[in-house]
Amino acid sequence: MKILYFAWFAEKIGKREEEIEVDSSVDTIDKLIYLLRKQGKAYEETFAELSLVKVAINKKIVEHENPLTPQDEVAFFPPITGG
Amino acid sequence: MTALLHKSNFCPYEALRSFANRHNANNSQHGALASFCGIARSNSESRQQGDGSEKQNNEPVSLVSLHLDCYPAMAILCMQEIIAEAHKRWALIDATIQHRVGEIPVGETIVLVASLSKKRNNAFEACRYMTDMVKVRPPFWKCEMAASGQKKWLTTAEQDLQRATDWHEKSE
Repeated sequence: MKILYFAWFAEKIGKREEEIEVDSSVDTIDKLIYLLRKQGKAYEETFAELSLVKVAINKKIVEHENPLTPQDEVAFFPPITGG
Repeated sequence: MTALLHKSNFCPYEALRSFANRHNANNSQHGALASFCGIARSNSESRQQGDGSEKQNNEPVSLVSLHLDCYPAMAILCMQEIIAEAHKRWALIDATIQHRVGEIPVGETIVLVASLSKKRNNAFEACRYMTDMVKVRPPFWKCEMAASGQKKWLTTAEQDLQRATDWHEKSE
């Protein structure tokens, strides 16, 4: 699964994108966040406050309960602050 | 309709001339061109720190630049969607949203929004609508870069969210 990070999420995690292997049990954003939190301290800190975690699947903003498939492009970012 | 991201400085006057000229040769119907140009300011905003940290220093500081992070593919889709909505709400001939991304030194253009129509009211309203939407919907994140080297990711501006909500209420 392709995962993108933006703004201070990318700074904290130290990368803007990564490909991760997920099994079919990771079928919602909630479950993906749970999995990512276990990847280390930077991930844990980034995903600590869930109200600050916004998500887009295939470039559409969705809720954390949204289903996902391994083919999806998932982007995590803080609330949009505009230009 | 044109939605563009600029990775380096662009001249809003040139962009506006080129937008208007596209219609001069083959369409003499337009009687109004409205535009908004946003420019990077040197004074910081009084918004809270947006990175979830404990630091909450909102003292005004002098800025050298803004850093605008962006999810390009989604931003273009979102700006096209905003232009399409403006076309639905008002009788427009054309509209454009052009946004700068990356490092933006103070004084340079951040955004250009323009609308072309037969009558001024449609052009004004559409330009204001697109400007208000572009402040809250496309995936842009603003980081202030101070002369001291300090950086500050901003939170969403409440007044910008309110303006977007006001438009939705108007349409209901």
